[in-house]
Amino acid sequence: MQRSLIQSLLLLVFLTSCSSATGVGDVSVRLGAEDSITLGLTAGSAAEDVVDGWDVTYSKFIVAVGGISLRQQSTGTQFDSLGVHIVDLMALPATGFELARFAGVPAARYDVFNWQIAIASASATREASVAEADAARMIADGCTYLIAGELTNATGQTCSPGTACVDARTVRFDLCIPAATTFGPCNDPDGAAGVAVSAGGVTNAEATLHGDHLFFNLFPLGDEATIVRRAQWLANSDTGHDGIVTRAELESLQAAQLFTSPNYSLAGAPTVDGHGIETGWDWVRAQARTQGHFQGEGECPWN
Amino acid sequence: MSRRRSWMALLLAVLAWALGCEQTGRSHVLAPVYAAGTGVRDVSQNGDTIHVDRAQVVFGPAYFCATSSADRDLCPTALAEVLDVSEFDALSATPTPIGTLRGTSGTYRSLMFDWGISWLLSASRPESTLPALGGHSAVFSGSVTRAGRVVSWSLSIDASPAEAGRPAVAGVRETHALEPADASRALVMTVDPVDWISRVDTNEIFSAADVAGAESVVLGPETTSYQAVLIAMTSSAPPTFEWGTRP
Amino acid sequence: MLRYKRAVLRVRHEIGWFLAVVVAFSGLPRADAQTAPSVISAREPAYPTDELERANEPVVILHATVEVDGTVSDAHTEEAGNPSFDAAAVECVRAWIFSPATRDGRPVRARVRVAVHFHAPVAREAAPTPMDDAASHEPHIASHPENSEDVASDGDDGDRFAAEGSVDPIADSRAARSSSDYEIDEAQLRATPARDAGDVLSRAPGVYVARGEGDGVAHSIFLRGFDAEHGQDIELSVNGLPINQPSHIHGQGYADLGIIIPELVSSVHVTEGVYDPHQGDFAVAGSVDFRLAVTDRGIRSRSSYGSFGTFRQLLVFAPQGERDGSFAAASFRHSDGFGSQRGGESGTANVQWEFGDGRTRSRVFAALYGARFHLAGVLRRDDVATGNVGFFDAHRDPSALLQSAFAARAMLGAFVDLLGERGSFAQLGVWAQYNDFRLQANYTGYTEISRVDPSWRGRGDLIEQSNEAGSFGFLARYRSERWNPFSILGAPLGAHVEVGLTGRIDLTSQRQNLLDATNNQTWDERVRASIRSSDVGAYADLDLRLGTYVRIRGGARADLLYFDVDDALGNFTPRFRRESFIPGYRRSAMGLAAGPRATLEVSPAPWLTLNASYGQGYRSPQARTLSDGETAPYTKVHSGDLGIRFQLGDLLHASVAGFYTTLSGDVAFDPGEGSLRYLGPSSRVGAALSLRSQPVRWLTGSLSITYVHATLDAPPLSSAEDPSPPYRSGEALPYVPPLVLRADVSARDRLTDLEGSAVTGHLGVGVTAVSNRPLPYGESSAAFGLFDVSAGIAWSALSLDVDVLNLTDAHYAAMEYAYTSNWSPTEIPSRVPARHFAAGAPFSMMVSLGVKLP
Repeated sequence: MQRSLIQSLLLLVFLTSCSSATGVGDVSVRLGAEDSITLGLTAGSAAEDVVDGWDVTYSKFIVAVGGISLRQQSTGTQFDSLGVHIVDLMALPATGFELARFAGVPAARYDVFNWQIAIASASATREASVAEADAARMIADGCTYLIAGELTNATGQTCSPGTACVDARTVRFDLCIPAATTFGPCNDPDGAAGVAVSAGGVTNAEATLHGDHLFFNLFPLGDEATIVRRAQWLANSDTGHDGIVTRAELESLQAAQLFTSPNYSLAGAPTVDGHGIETGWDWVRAQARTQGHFQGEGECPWN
Repeated sequence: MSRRRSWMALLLAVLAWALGCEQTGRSHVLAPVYAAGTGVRDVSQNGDTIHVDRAQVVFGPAYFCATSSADRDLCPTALAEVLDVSEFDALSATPTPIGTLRGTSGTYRSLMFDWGISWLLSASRPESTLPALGGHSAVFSGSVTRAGRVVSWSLSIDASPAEAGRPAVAGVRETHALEPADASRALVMTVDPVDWISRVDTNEIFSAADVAGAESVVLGPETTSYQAVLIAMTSSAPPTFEWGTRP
Repeated sequence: MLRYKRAVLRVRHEIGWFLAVVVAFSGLPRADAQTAPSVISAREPAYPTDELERANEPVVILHATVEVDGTVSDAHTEEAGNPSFDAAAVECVRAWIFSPATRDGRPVRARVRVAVHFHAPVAREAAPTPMDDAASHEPHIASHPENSEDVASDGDDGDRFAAEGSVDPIADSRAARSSSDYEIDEAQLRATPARDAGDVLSRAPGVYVARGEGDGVAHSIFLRGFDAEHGQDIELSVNGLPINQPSHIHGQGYADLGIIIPELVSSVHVTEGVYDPHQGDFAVAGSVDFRLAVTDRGIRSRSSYGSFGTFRQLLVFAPQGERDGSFAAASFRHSDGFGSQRGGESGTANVQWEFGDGRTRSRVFAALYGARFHLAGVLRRDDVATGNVGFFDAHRDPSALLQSAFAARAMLGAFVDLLGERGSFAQLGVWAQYNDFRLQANYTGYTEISRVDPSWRGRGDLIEQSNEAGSFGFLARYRSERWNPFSILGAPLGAHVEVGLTGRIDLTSQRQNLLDATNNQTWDERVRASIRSSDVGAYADLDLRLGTYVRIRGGARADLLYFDVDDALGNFTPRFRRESFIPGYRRSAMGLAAGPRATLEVSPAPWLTLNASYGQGYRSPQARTLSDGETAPYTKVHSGDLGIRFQLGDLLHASVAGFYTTLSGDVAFDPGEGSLRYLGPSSRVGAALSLRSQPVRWLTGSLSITYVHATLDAPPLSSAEDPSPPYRSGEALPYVPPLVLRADVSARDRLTDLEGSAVTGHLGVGVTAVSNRPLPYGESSAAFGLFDVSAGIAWSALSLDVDVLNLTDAHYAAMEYAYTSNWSPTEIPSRVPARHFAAGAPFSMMVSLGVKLP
């Protein structure tokens, strides 16, 4: 009896001396698209609707994404994936697209999760969902996004600044947007920092892109809170009245002409090439720099 | 501790001090804040000359935050703040005292502030916090000259926050260290009202003058010029802050 | 003619060799089917220090009642002699354990006559008695003569038998593991007034206890450089039942001591540090066990009335003839509270009954507690300085005036002790608890925005927290017989091994909302979760004696924790987002926490003990902070202690200890959420001095001084709010007082006789002093000192007591914080941290009238 008790004591001491080994797991970092990208936005008066009568649908929402970083502050342990992928969010499977996979990650909470929207380059990996021509256009124009879609409104009009309004049931847009951004450190929707990696399995972490920021009326920092969605400004940007909004048209319009107080506020807008928002194109680029989130609704500050 | 503090507590305080003064990692910061303009009053725009006669601005309150994205949600606790709301002559290059910076040491990376109109969290609408300038954030006036024609203009900006509890200007990225008070130092805010006014559309001014048949126009919120100056003040051309010697 | 049994017991005292001869007899008529009580274990008599010089070696004859469970329920001297020896003998014999008398095979109560010999310490070197040949120092019963009929004191010619005694094996297993292990006895506890169990705990060295948030909310406890909040760093228990509640909405390890009636606390065992494998979850700074017993037997009523309209009624039922551990008591308290907004009522009932014979002891413990109080909350210092609000008042804001706390708790536990041979025992226990908690508190004024609908804002930060939990647990431990395999250099090697298993399951439901005080509308929902968690702990503990001078104790403990969280508000969909899923986040996680504990004890002289101790402890995480599959991140503590203990009889008990602890992750109170936030790793180095003395029988005194230097060891984690928080190497941990002093002096004696009954009086003075406390953001809280005085007189069945707390009426901050708040919603809000405090109680006096029936 005594001997067995002492043996059990020694076993427990041995086990407890090894207790620091908590195991390892894999981390799968996936790219996810908010419903506003795949399903579009609808006109209406509800809090999630576009309030000025326009439905929004996307046909392409291509993004160059990569630069994943997972770090534990207390130990400095870090995992990086520098590769850039060009992906069309309209063609994502329901489970998203795997951007990176870190194997053998010691199980623990990694409280810093960063990811990047990058300028498309020849070294980026073009996924099958992206047409070669679209990738080539992004690379040639130094873009991070290629976003195409249309606004529809049965009673819609284009009211370009300084001109009379004209009927416009459908207004298309096709924009190759340079908006390189680093997002992070990200919190999950419940406010927890980063990712908790479990041992012996795969932990999923989703870099999520929202598709409605272009239509926000302000630049919320942190919680998106009481934003309102408006799309009339984009319809108004079709100064050529040809039914499609181009970069040149947006560049020709002052932000003060499109985003007027009190309906809009530019406070807190990220800078674009080191300057503030001066034109409609600047607005598009600035809002494109705010679209990154984490695990759905989790917030990621932009750089 | 009241005057009735026991001798024992005093003894303990002395003993604790002798054993090592226990402190957490921050110190108090207290410094005067001044506002100054650039002293410039004229600017050219597409061959027109814009002259600014008056640029009275109301500033405050302001919050200096550790986050690089100062806003209601990311800066619930500020490193330092200027709670004073003061009017100053933005054309004067001579620093004008506008309040006191109070807070704790650290590095602030961004700030948020109001131009005299705040929307308190419990209030139903934004309101001016200083009765000066008729409740406006800024009042500008001047003239624009085109080929010898001079049209006077005036502009009263209301830089209202977009929603309750949010500042009118947020996420202004400035990185400076806040160090414990040095009696000789002051924080100097520099504004460039001529830069703001340079964004007005002179064509709009002359057109308005033509329509009105007068050589004086008031640029209201419906004008692009008003919106451009408002955007400049609240987003694209915010003031800058530098530590300097107390004027 | 009666026939009696005779026992001779020899014990070895730390300060000398004693030969205590016990002669016992049964008061029952002789019958063939009767057996008399016989000694199983016997505590050593302590030689009175005030008699050391005279070195007398008297024999004290006592009459003792041996209960059916083998314990001694009553002992008194046959005739009064030297008071010091009489008292020591009574105290000694009351702790003895007998095999009870039996009649027809059934245990029965019996009276025995006992003779206790005192041998002065100088006699230690005297020629050994024949009993020294006994090989073992363990309790065992030698041959008992059958049906002894007579009894005689030592020297009689009647039948004799010998028994080797030692202390109660269960008590022995709880013996001090370090020089920071303290047993606060009844004399210390009764020295000065105690409103509640928090005041009782404040007698322990290095402890500062505050009830800053108000009655109805658990105390805030500081221990040796730890801000243990409401119990997150201290494992608290009452009579073996755990008090801490895991994953409580108001703070991890939340422990409300209101369930304990302070008058029932007979001792408090305080283990500062983590050196004992028995210590489980929350034993980070240490462990505290309140032990309840009523030594002053009888039926007692005590009615108290005093300052702030406070009325308290206590009823204690502790019938004579039962064991000290058998009692029933209830208390009710009403108070309008000091200042404003502090009124309320509370009621507590504690019942325990002990059963069994000498080798099988059982007890059932039950407790009920309910309280509801208004809360004044915390105030901004600048508001008080400008006269906006009085020091003891509450903010005159609707949401401040609606602050309140409600707590209800029920505990039930049953324990069985099975005593074996040669120091072995087994202990089994099961328990169940129900807890309900509801808090309405506004710490920050007007800063919050609704998450449900962000357009709802500025309606007052009145946080409503509720936490309902049912808990079930068990414990089982077995300690082996003493094992003597061989001798080393002539010193016998002896060892016990103990193994134990503990377990608990907690079913918790919790919510946190924001309330609009003007109409009781809920305007935001922050937490709605149910948590199932379990903790199964196993430990092994080796107690190894190497000869006379060296004792090595230690082993290891491992706890496996499981969490199942149903967070109904997880993945919350903001109102401005289209719903594409059903909100909620259900997850489970497990974790294993394990670590060794060890103590080396060297006793070069009977009056001197040197200790070196090391151990690792842990604190479990708040379940809602865990992600699915996450390896539960325990907060780990490494604790080391080096110390010396002196014991010169009752004249002086002294200990000096130096300690060092590191904590892998500290947390501190976050007023914005009313819960705890992560700070970072921390360490503490310090020293504690504890003195206790009873120079004469009627006077006791104690003094403890603890100094600790507690520092944050790494910069706080960066976040979006602060990418690089400022950090100064060696910066102080906030809230922790570096210096804590506690002193108590009490005199208690017979004053005179009146109509044949003694008139006794007592006078006690207690002093608490707490040094400056560092606060976040470079702020500091002022030092303070408090004087408490207690005086009373008792005659026959009556007693009259006057208790004064905070005699000097010091205005002090029981708790102090630095954070951002806005109590002026119509003015420009400040966003920089300001000092906030919760006022400590001012001068108060209670007059108590007691009536005791035998």
